Amino acid sequence: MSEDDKAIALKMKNLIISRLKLEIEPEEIANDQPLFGEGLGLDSIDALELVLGLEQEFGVKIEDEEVGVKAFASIDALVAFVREKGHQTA
Amino acid sequence: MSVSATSGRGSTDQGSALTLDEILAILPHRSPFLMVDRVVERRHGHSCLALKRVTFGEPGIRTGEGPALPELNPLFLVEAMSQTAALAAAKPGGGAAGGPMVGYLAAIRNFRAVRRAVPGDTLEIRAEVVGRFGDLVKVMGTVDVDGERIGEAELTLSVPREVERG
Repeated sequence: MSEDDKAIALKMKNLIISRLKLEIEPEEIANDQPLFGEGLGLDSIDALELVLGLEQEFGVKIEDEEVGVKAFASIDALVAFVREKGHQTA
Repeated sequence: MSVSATSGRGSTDQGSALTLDEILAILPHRSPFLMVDRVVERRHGHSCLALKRVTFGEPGIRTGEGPALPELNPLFLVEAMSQTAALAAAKPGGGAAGGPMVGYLAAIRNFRAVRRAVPGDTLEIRAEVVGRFGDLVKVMGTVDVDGERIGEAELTLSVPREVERG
């Protein structure tokens, strides 16, 4: 993972923690950890919050659930998603 | 009370008012739990401005003890914002057999009741859709009385997509 990607990953973790008011530190979220279900334990209401947060802070839209399932698989997947959407730096 | 109203009927970019019949065709709630008397302006899928007159006779009024005025239980502000949010998000006849829609309040965040409403107040309830994902719709709700903010909340509704748009 490049330094830029690491910076985006950290920003993602901070976004998740602040938007969802989680009482954890960024380093407690592994980059390959599933965000939903038995991973970080997020649910569909959290997904809506993250969709809005990504749009506001990264300027990228998640158009539908199919895209969301892939993008929200992990921090690694989120970083790849915003990179694919053209986000260059953290 | 200062609210903006539009003249005429039908959907426009500026929004339109709804009659009581139209409100009842969208919401399954009925008296005494219908928390919307009038819809002044509704932009389908985007926003809704509704009015509700607070009266002594409704179940949300609590009197307490001593000389304090009767007041509306603030949880009823959440209900009023939720019903107004549903009006912003759903279409008439979206439920089974063309009846009122079936949607659910899925989450409430950052609810604040700044002051209590009392009988005689007219609640100006605003709901603005700020995002959607799947069947979930996020709505910012506010309640004003005489231009003063008395309550606000971030609401998440679960509204099946086939009744949400169209």
